Amino acid sequence: MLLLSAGFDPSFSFSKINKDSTSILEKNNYSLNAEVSYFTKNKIQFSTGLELDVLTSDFSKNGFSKRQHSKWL
Amino acid sequence: MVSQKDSIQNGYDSKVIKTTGTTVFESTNNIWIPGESISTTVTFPKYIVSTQIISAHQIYNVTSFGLPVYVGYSYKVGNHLYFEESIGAIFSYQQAKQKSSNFSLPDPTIRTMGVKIAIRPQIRYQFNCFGVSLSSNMGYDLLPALNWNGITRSRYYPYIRVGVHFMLK
Repeated sequence: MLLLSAGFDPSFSFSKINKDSTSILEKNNYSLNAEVSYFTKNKIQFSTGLELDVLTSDFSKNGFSKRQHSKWL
Repeated sequence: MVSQKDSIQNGYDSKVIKTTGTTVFESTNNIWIPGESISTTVTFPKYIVSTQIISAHQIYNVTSFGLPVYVGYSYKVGNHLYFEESIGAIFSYQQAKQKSSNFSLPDPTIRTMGVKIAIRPQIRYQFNCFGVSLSSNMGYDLLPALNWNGITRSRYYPYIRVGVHFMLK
């Protein structure tokens, strides 16, 4: 038995903050997939197909800067 | 005659203003010079010390074309309802395009061939030939497209997927 499938993954964001004040925010914009699955008589399933995955990766670093200004009144 | 007590007026005037993310320190000294018939005011410089939080960003768009390979098991849990559990790998060709850059951040190395491992539990409602499904596509990026030197780049992703199906008997 064959099963044809098409799937869609909506947008999803996740982030990772590292110890050195850097962080990576990733947003999965969307994913699309098309698959064909083959079922054996004992219900084992083998699947393959094509997948398109589009995401945005934002690498950022936070830091501190001290500035000193002086002016005569 | 100006007394010693009165010789210094407002000798030290300071205040510390704290706002979110910024500290401002100001000092103004006004000194009367003793022994002079005409008062003289000396004003010290005004110092402002501020602390700023700097945030630098580097943004990339990553597009992956993948070939998924899954093996799974299917349970019939109702008249038309199936629960399926699959595990597999996705071998992909990856492209990364820089959207915005910052000179203070290092450029990443870009890997064109990627591998992910994934688990996919799925509930499928099948009516005759047609079906719909809801699945959670949870994976781990073994070979991600972007790698910053010295930064652990482990990436887990939990996607929610909606699907449509057509059965060939």
